Amino acid sequence: MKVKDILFNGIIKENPTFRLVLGMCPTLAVTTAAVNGVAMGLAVTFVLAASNLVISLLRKFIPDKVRIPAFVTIIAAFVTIVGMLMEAFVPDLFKALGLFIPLIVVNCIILARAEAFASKNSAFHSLIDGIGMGLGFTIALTVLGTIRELLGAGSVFGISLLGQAYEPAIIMILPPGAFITLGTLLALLNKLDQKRQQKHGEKA
Amino acid sequence: MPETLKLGLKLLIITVVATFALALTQMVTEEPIRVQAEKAANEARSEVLEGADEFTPVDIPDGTYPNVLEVHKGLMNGETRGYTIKTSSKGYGGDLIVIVGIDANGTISGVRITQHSETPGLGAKAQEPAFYEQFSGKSAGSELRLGDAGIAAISGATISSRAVTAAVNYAIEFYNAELAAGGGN
Repeated sequence: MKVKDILFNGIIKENPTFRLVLGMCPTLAVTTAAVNGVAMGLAVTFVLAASNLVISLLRKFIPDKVRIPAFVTIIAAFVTIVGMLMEAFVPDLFKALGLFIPLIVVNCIILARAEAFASKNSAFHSLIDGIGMGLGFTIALTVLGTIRELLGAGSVFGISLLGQAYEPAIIMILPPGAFITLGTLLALLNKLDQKRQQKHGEKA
Repeated sequence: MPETLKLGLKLLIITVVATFALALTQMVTEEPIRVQAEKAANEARSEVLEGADEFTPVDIPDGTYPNVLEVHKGLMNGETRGYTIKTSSKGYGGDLIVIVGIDANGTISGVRITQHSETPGLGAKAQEPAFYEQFSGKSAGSELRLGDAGIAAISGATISSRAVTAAVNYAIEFYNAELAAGGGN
């Protein structure tokens, strides 16, 4: 397996949000603004890369039959340690990401990658897979956050774009807006994918 | 060794190692986190009470003020600049925590919402300067009322606006009863 393939697998082919539809809880909850999407995405990328690495290193030690409780213990301990270290030594970063760190414990992308990839592949490849999946998640959340912030508050990354004349559609930054945006995006991407597959089919 | 025992043992090893790692991190980070929290709290206090750079806690009489959470005396070079009072009130989406600064002349020097669960785009606008700056410069001599004395509610978020005003009033009440007469030591 080539490193580039593993990296882009997470970003495009198996994008955790748009293709695997995993980790919906933080996706729907935090994407009220573009900056939140970036922050949550980066926090997940960091934890995912590191937890993939640790799980992969331990994959020979962890018995197959009890792997799920073992993964959960390792991931939960890991996330908590990262959160505490950040709070103590990089308070500015913690201020921006702190809210999202505890949410990562319950993020099923981490467990899914441990199960589907890290427990079967080398440490280096698992690290790359974690980074790729994390970046895919970051991009997806940033897109969602940007659309919702633009329609719901008239701004992107806090910079007002639509001006005073635009009456913000507040529903877009409330929970229903999350479902509407995600549903529309998923439908759009599926349509594009279908078209692409049809083209391939005709050629073949 | 039976397989079940082996599995249990391995799981035990993993949890023990995880626990030790957590305990170790807790030991290392406890002090820095406390210092950081203290620093952050002081920063929030000096934001509502400009000029003060040292804060000493003031005792709150038991049971009399259920909505007053923390009171600090703000000092600069040993001189009292005023007080910061942290209060809570019921907002639209849950508890609202507000920190109020009252300077030595009995004037409100600043109000900040430190924690809230109000609706984004509506009640959450209470966090914007356009709303909370309305309280600055008002006299803490008597209770403030939404609508008069130049405090306008956020349109579409009357409950949140009332909650902030109520929180400020709890601070005013405490100030007048306990601190205005030069007490609070």
